[in-house]
Formats: sequence, structure tokens, C-alpha cells
Amino acid sequence: MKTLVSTAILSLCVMLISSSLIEAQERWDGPVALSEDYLLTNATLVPRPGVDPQLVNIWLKDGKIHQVGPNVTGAIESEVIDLDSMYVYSGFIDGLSHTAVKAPEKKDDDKKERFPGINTYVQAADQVQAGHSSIAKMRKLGYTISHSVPKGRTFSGQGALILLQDGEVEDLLLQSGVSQMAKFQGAGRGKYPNTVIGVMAKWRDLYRNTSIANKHMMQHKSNPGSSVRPSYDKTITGFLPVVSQGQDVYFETGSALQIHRAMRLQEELGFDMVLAGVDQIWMCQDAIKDWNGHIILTDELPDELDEEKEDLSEEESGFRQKRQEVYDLSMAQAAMLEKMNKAFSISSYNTGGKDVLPNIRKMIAAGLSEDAALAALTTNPAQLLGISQYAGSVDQGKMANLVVADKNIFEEGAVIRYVFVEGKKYDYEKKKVKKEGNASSDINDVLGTWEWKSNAMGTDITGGLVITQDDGNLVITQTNSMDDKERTMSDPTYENGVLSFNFSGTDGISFTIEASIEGDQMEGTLSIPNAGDFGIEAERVSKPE
Amino acid sequence: MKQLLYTLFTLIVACSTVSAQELKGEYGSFALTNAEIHTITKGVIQSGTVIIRNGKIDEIYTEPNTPKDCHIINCQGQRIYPGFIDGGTGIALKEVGSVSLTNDRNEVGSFTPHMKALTAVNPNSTHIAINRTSGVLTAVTSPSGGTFPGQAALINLHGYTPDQMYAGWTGLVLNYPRTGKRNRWDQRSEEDIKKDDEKNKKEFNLAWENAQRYLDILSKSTDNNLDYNPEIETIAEVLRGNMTLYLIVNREKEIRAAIEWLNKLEISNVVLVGLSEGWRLADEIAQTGFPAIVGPVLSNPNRAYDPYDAPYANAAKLAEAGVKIALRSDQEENVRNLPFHAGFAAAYGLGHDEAIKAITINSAEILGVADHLGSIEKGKSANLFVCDGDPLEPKTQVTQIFIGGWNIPVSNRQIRLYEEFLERDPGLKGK
Amino acid sequence: MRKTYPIIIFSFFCLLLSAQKYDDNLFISNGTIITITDGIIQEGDIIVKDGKIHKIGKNLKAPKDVTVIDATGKYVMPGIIDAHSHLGIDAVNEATAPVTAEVFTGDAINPFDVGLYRALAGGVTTSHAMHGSANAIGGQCETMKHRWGESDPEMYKMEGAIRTIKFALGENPMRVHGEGRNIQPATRMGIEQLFRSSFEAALEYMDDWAAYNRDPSSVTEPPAYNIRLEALSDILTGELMIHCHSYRADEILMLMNVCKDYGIEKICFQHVNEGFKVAPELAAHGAYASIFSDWWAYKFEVYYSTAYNATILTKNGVLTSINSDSRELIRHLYHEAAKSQRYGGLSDNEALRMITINPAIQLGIDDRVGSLEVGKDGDIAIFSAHPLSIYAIPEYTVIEGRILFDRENDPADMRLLIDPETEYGSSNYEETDRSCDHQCLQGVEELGLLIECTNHNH
Repeated sequence: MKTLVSTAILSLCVMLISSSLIEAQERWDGPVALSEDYLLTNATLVPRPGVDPQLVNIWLKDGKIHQVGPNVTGAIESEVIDLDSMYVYSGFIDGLSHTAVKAPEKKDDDKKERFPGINTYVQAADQVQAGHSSIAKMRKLGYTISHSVPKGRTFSGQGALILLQDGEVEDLLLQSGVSQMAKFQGAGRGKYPNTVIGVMAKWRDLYRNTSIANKHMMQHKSNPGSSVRPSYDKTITGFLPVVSQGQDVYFETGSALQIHRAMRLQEELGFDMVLAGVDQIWMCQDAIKDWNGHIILTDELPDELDEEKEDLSEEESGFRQKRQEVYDLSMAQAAMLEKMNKAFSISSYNTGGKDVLPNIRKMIAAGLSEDAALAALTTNPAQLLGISQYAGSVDQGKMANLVVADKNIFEEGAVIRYVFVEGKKYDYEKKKVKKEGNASSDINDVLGTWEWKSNAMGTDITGGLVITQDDGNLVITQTNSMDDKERTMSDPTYENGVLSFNFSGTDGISFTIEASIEGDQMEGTLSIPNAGDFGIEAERVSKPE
Repeated sequence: MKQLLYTLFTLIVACSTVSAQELKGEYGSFALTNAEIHTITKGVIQSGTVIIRNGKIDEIYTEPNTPKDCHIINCQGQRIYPGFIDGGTGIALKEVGSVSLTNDRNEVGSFTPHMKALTAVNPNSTHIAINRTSGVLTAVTSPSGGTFPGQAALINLHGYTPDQMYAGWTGLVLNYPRTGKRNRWDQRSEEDIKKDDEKNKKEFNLAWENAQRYLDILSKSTDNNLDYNPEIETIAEVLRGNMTLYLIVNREKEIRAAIEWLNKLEISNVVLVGLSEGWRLADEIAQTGFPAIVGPVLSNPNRAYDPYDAPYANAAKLAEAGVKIALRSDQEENVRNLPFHAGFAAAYGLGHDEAIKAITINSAEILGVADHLGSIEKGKSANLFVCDGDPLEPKTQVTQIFIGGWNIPVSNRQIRLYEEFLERDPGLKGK
Repeated sequence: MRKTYPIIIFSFFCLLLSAQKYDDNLFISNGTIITITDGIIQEGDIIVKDGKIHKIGKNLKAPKDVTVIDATGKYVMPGIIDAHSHLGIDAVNEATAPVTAEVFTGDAINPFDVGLYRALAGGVTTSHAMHGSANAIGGQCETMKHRWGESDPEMYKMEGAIRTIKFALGENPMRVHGEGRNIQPATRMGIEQLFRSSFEAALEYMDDWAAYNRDPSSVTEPPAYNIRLEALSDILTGELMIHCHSYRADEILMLMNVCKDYGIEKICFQHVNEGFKVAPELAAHGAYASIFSDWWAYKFEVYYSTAYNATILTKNGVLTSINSDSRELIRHLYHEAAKSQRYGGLSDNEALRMITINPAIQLGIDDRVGSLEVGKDGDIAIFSAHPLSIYAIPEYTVIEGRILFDRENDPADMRLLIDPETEYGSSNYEETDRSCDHQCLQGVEELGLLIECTNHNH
């Protein structure tokens, strides 16, 4: 197998990981664009929810939607892309995610935190990483703007708006201090607050202390002589925008009881709140109906019930029926919200995005309208985040954020072909992951030794993969004769016939491989940030006994 | 009644002057006369007499009788029952729950079949006197924890050595290997649970295979090089038919697995214990022909979707299907509640008479001790008690206790504390 | 000792969410009515109107178009009240500090706990959902009505109930904090001093705010708000009543002395297994006792217990109730009360008071529930036989005129909230492992503070 290993892979790694990143990027920015001026012709455009699809040309220029219409012709330097009736939508807006955010390594000092889990002052904006693998991943799913929050526990910190494009942090960040992220999760083992009752008490304490501090600060400002200088407290200062400026609290409420509890806190204290990751709406319909606020519905749906066995006992079939009812209710939650005339979004928060579109299709099958589904991905999150003036719909003058799919995106099997982020094109034409029909997630499909080849950036690369399992978890090592080293791949998954894994160099550059499996053949994409997507093929040369 | 209270009081006064741990019993000949005698096996005698001599029920008369050689106890308006038998407890093996060094129920390891409960029975445990005053005079006490925790023993709740207490039955306790989550605090991952389950099953099967192999080797030759192996020897005793398999199994899935396993093993000296989900497959259990010791009755249903009264009605459903049942309290310090377990089973379908049988004659028969326990019959051991009403009713008072012919004072530390503190002296104001 | 500072506007309890009670109508005819406070009416009737008991008596005329329960041959008593339970709450112990007066079980109500229905099926209509006993000063507790079927937690809160807070003495806080975390209190001495220092801090806090509110310009900085000290202050002002987990006689006396020193009048001792040893002192103090019928020996501090506790306390004039502290016992509190007849021969009414009006008084809800009286809530339990008989089967349980349990119409599967991914008979058992029946210390194991799972750590 060593003979198959090419020198190219190593040189590729070296170049991407090295400090000459910017040069590398300029040289290899996909098929290098002459200009970022595109004319998309023959587009079936759905400019915003509630509007019938129309056949138009779209001219993107200077990162904006320059012109839209049946007769738009573009300029001489416009690169013409014939969409051949493909569907065009406004780029999706992710109402809540952790995209591009990477928490700093824990230091020993952190263990002595005064208020563990209460990180009101942490800013996602400070944790954004350019080139983070999640950016490309989410963009590929159609997202162009993301509201990203720091990871954490009770109060994980403040969110930022991020443009899902390549470039430096400065190119990505649209806005910081967008939100305060809250959960009922405690601060962790042995730490206060540990339980939901501790968390709610902490909320009251923090809120009231911040109110008092705010009042004191204002008094002191207007008459410094009358009082001592307010002492600085980072927790209170971090929470101040919620108390004094109406910053939205995004409350993770994945159950009916959490929804009730969050509403109770809001009613007592009076902050602005978005319910996020919402589930079990059917258990609290009245409360939801009477509540005025934005809802981010969970993007996670329960697994389908397995096939019915024969001659079940009365008890078991009753049990099954109840499960089925709840399964159906879970599917119908989005439709329920639509019927209530609630503005809601569907973000990538719960599943990390991979199931958003498939699950929305299930929600549509359960009664959600396509218009409401599109609104949940575009106009509603735009409104929630206060960016409707430049995002959320395809209108002249708005940011050139588009999703192009080969057919109606809510139809089964629709594939995203292009995503435009502020006028920059991301091309997924080469993507050959297919066969959604192959629903197998049996990891035995992929075990064994594989030899792969790829043509990235005009160079033929080959290599070997050894895929084994440990306790049902995939373990993938990539071997390479150049340095005789084995590299262990991270996040390997095999679901619905698709194998995916990452490997990281330093600097957080992450290569992603995603491929569909058919027998002993593998075919898919190698994604390299700031470089593009390249085809990859592999063949299995041996299977485990 | 008044007279009885008087005797009771004098006994208690005696106690405060004597520094004994418990009051001494009295051995001799007794005539319990004018009593409503519930023989269990031979109906109810309205106003009869039970004569106790030499530790045994010597005579039963259907009319009042006061033989000269007997200490006469007038039981006017009272009833006599055979001592209740609790089919499953941990009594006298654990003194203080949270103090682990007073706990002799759980040996380290899940494969300790050679551990004998009788070895660790503490005859002077306060639990004994405190529990027998409700009429529970005999109990199975067993080790716990792991798959083969050891051997249970049937003991009378009186005696100064384990041997004096021993009531003639020993059984090998088997907690049929459980699968899945242990309870809602079980935090093992699905993977770990699976692994543990498989490991347990493997070990379990190996134990029985080895015991069989052990017997085969012994049968071929007595001259062998087998090592000292008390664990396997104990299991072999079950295969030889010399010891009962006391098989504790509760959940439907495991009950099914256990039945399947028993069918293959082809042994008949088995008693099924627990069976909290037995009601789900009562007919299948009945088909095995094995008797069952069911309970605790006063317990929660296993599953969230179970009927709330499943544990109350379980015994009745099994009995209805044809299973021969006895009851257990599964208690350590509150074995005294056995009559109440029986009362709930009675109310939820078993009926009063069957419920009483389930804590007297049925238990005795299932444990193979009906020759001397379980009913008021001539020749049986004088294990009986006198009470002023239905012994399953909480308000009923037990007034006399006999174990093996010993008349045991109805007293214990809890009663003595009552006497001492009902009107504490000095009270609030000192002297 | 009055609080005068306007911080009261923050008080989250003044925020009365609109938890409506039921207002159903019901006619119960021809039963043996055990009123608790006014004797027994043979062949009596009860009219419940708009959720309240409208009339009790013989030969009453049934109102038109009203649900009727024919109670011929049955026994009708007030809904049973459990003064110590942990059912229906998602968090029991915030075991991360020896003092957590600020937390509140009312925040964690879980109306989907099937245990609540099973309690109803045992005639229990009201329970006191308490914080656990891991901390010397635990959290505030909620008095709940078991309005089974409601999904809004607010519907379980009993309007008008007094506010209560859990204290704990002895082994549990000593084990969790002293033994488990190597901090005070590790002894009963430490527990006393923790109470005293906590109350001193609250006094100082109240003074600071009082001074600030009298004249804000006299201080240069407003005092910090402290939700924990707020709760402790509420104890000192009598707005928050102590319900204290306790076992040994000495610790019971200690808390009474501390309370005397700080002018705290009402205390209810919970479990109080050795209450019988200091019954005269409890009676003189006016303290209440809420006890187990017969539990003992599960740890050392309950080794010298007696099942005659109920009788001794009652005969010495201590207002006593019998509680469950258990998902299992709460299903048959009527039977637990009956045991007081075996152990000391209390009268029927004395026994039944301990699960009705007495716990109602201890929870400050005796104006609403605890007896069958005109004007009180229509919370009623109906039994097939006398409730103190072992053969009694609860047949109906009614809250505010609404029948919430009816044995004749009682599906097996009463779950309200179902996880669509739960497999039948799979490992997702709601099983109560009896050897781990330890509600009072629930949640503590998860902190890794207790490894051994003992019989029951109440």
C-alpha cells in the first residue's frame, strides 16, 4: 500500500498548515475567480416566503444583490452561471449555533472560578476562529449567517453574528453582544448551582443584583459625589445588557417543563427572551399560545418506531400506540406553531445542522407549509436577529447570500449546488455524495482496509485508510508512506450510507472527508478550507474476518 | 382483656428492674383455653383449647379445658393463630442500615454461594424481639447482592444460638442475572450495560456447567485431584436435589429467561421468589409447577405504565392462575409488617383466608417444614400466638407468643421505650 | 423585627400567577362521612359547589345536573395530606453548600411524575414537596395539590399555603458536607453554630437594608442584594416556617433553643424519631411533629426509635402528623396512620387526624383542607371500608369537586409525558429499587458525595 502513497498529500498538508496560509489561500481559492461579479441565469427564484417561484436572472456585484429580473444581463466582466431552472433562495440564517466558535483551553486557574458556570461576560466574538471546520460544514448546508454562542453551562456567554465565509475573523464578524445564552443546566458536579432549583435561584440573585448595580451606576454617573464608585464585577457587567438594554436571553428549553420555568423567570424578572431548542410544544400549547416571543424550534426529531412485530400483547400495542402518537406530535410541532401564527425559526442548535433539511421535510409531511418552512430558515431568523434590512430575502440591495438547489429544496433528494456568501461563490457541483436511499448505518459496511485516490488542485494523491471499530465506535487511521506515520481521524461517523471524518492540522485547519459507500466502493468529497472541495474515491482491499 | 393488660404491665415493670436485654421466655405446659382457634388446615374452633407440652402442640380440644399440669391462659374473646412465616427477609443480619460493619448480608463478590446466613444470624439482635410481636415468629433470612449471595436459612425468632433458632430449611439464593438498567439512577451507558449483562450471563452459565462437570467427575471416580471448591460444591448440592434453589427473579423478561433455563436444567427443588411482574405471565409461571414466594406486596409498580395496584394484586393473580404462593415482606427491620402485606394482598383479590395461608401453611409447605410449622395441629411445634382480633388488622393486639413451646413475653425495646416515655419522669419541670 | 426596605418588590412570591383552582360540582350520597373535626355522619351526603364543600348532612337534595357518587356502604373522608414528600419535583437537593435557603422546590415541579397519580390512588390530595436533607439549611418547599392531568406546574401550587423551608440536623448534613466535602458541619455542634452564624448574617443584612432605606444618602453604596440572606431574613420575620429533618432528642432541643434565641416561633420537626423522648419540651414550645409510623434502624440516629412515637407525642399534646417521605408509603398513608392503633391504641379520630387536619395545620392550610367542613375545599377520599382497616380500598379521590381517581375507571398506563423513543419493556424502567429508596438524599449520589447506597437515607 505504501507504494500508493503519493508525496502530494504531505506537501499539501505542509502548505496549508504552514504560516504561509494567506499566500496559499490566494493561490488556491478554488477555481480562481476573475471577479466576484456573477450573473445567475435561468434561476427559479423564491425571493421570500409566500412568493411564487419566478424565472429570473440574478446579478451579484460587490457582495450585494445588484439586480433581479427576467431581463437582467449583467456586465461584461460578470461570470455567467446558467442555473438551468435550479431553485434559488435567500441564504439560510442560523438562529442559534456554535458555528465557528472554539472555547479556549481550560487553564488551572479556571478551576478556582468564583461562580462556575456563570459566564455572562464571555463573548462568542472573542472565540470565533477563521477557517474553523464548522464554517464550511454549515455553509454547505445552506447557512450563510449564523448567530453563534459560546459553549458552556448555566450562562455560557454572549452571542455574535457571523458571516459564514472564508477569510479572517474580521471578515466573518458582523456583530457581537447579540444575546445572552442561558440553560437550566447546572454548573457541574459538586458546583453551585447544581440543580434546576439552584439555577433559578441564581437567576434571581444575578438579575436583582445587576438591577441594583445598574441603578447605582447611573446615579453615580449623574452625581459622582453622592456615592462611591461602583465596584467592577465581570459577571454583573456581562449581564448588564440583559437588564438595561433589552438584550435577548436565548433560553435553552428542550421540554415543556423548561418552557414553563423560563416563562416563570421572565414573568418575575421581566427580561426579553427567545425560547431555543424548543420541544414538547404539545405539552404546553396554552402557555406558548399566550406568550409573545420568538421560538427556535428543535431541529431534532425522534427516531421512527421500528417495524411492528406480530401478535403483541394488548399492553404492548397500547404502549406502542402511545409512542406513535407522541412521535406524530413531535413531527407536527412546526405545523402547530404555524397554526398558532407564531414566528419561529429552525436552527442547527440541536443536531449541529446535519438533520435540519431532512427533518424539515418530515415536518412538511406532517403539515408544515413550505412557506413557513422557508420563513423558519430565512425571514424569521433575520427578523429575530434584527438583520432584515440586509438579509433574509432576495431583494435588490441586500447582501448576496444565496442558496442554489437542483430542485425545490424541500423536495426529497434536493441537493444544494451553490452557496453564495456576500457574493462569494461556493461550488458543490463536484460533490458526489448520493444515494440518500441507502439508509444503512451499519458500520460493518465500512470496516476494512481501503486505498484511496483524489485529484486535489491538479495533483493526484493516494493513500490508505484502515477502518476498525472499538465498542461500536469507528476508528479510522490514515497511513502514508511519506513519513511512515499513522494519523487518527477525528469525529468518524457512518450514517445513512455516508462515511465522514475529519483530520486537523495545527491552526485549527480541518480537512473533512465525506463519502458514500456502495459495497467496496467509496466516492465522495475532500473538503479543504480556503481551498475547495475535491473528489475522492476509494476501494476496499480487505475486510475484517 | 384487662387481665391481659395487667400481665403485660407486670412484665414490663419486671423488665425495668431486671437489666436483661430481653425478657426471658417461660417453658412448660400451657393450656390456652376459651380461644377461637384458627388451625388454618382444619378450620376454626370457636371456643377451644390448645395444650402445649414439651415444646409441641400436645392436644387440641374443641371445648374449654384446664388440665391440672398446665399453666392456664384464658383466651376469652381472643384468637389463636399459628406463627406467621415470612418467606423472605434479612432479619438479624443487619443491625444499623448505614453502618456497614453491622451489615452481614453482603459479602464481597457476586459469586459466593457458600456463604451461610445462619452463620451471621445474631440471636441477640434487637430486631428479633421488635419484629416478632406482630405474630411473625419464623422467617427466611438471606444474604443479598450479586448473583449467588449465599444460602438463606429459615429461623425462628427466638433462641440464643443460631442452631437453636434454625427451623429446618436452607436454600441457595440465586438472584437471576438481571439485564438492562438497575434503576433510574443507573448511570452506566447502554454499551456498558450490554457488556455487564453478557459478562454476568457467561459467569452464570459457567457456574452451572462447572457444577455439572464436578458431579460428573465425582461420579466417575472418588479418587480425583479436585481442589477445595466450596462454591461449586454448594451449587452441586442443588443439582443433587439436597438443597432448594431460592430463585429471586422479578421482571418479566428475566422471569421468562429463568423459566426457559429451569426447563433445560431439569431440577425440581426450586422456589421462585419475588415475581413482582409475575402478573404479566401468571399462566406461564403456573405451568412450571414451581411454588412462589411473592412480594413485597407493599411496593411500587416496576414500570411507569403499570397499573398502580399491580404489586397489591400480584399475589392474587398468580394464585388464580394456579401458582402455589406464599408471601414475603423483603424487609430487614420491619418484618413485623408481614401481616399488613398479607392484608393488602387479601384486599386486592386474594381474600382473607388465602392471605393467611400465604403466611402460614403455604410457606411451611413450600419450604418443606409443614411437618412442624404452619398450622395448629397436634404434634406440630408450638409456634403460635394469641391476639384480640383479625391479626391482619393494624388495630389488633398480639397478647401471647409461643415459639417452640416457649412463652415469650410480648415485649421489646420499642415497647419499653413507650412505657418509659409515655409519661416521662422527670417531665418538663424536673422533679 | 420588621423588614421595611422596599426590596420586597423583588419578592417573587408576590407575583401570583393565575393558578386557578377547580370549581367543579359534585354530590356524594349516603356514605359514612368522617368529618375529622365534627364527628361521623352515618348515611350522610355532601354537596360540593364550585369546588367548595357547600353542604354536609343527611338526606340532602342532589343539585340538578351534577356528577353523583353513590357512597352507600363506603367511607368518606377528607383528602389525605402528606406533610413530607419529594414527589413531583425534578430536583430535591441542591447539595453544593451547607446553606441553600434561596432555592425553592416550587421551581422544579414536575406534574408528569406518575407517582403523583399513584398517591392520588391512595387518597392523597395534597403533599408538601420538600427540599432534601443534604444541607443544614436546605431550600424552600412547595405545598402542592395533586391536580393530575395538568401540565402547567403552576397548577400544582396550592394558593395561600404558607411558605416553608427545610432544615436538616444530624447525620445527613454531617455526612454530605463534613464527611463528604471536609467542611463544616461535621458534627451536631457545627450544625448549631451554622444556624447561629446564618441568622446573625441575616440580622446584619436586614440592618444594612433598613439603614439604607431610611436614608439612602447616609450610605455611600447600596447594600448588595443576597437572595440567600433574603430567605434567612424571612425566617426571622416569620414569613418562612421551618420544617426540620431531625432524629435525635438532643438536636431537637438544640433547634428549639436556637429558635427561642432568634424569636422564631413556629417549627415543625420532620421524622423526629426521638421526639417521644422530649415530648414535654416539644409540647411546651408548641412545636409540631411529622413522623414515620414505624421506620427505624436504617441508620444509627434512628436505632433507638419506637413505633409508639405517634402515641407518645399525641398523648403529650404535640400536634403530630404521619408522613411518607417515600414514593411507596404515600400510596397508603391511611394504613400508616392505622399503625398508631397497633402501637399505643390511638382512637380512630386521633389516627385519622394525623393524615388530615394535623398536617394541614403544620402546612398552614387548615382553613382550606384537612377536614370535611362547609366552606372548605372539596378535597375528598372515598374508601370501600373504614380507612384504618387493612381491607380498605380507596375508590375515589376528589380535588375541588373534580374526580381525579376513580378505581372503576382507571387505565393502567397513566403517563402524561411520553418519550417517543422509549422501548417497551426496555431498560428505561421507572423502577424503584427498594434498596435505594432514598428520596431525602436524592441527587446527592450524583455529586459523588455518597458512594454507598444504603437502605434508605431519610
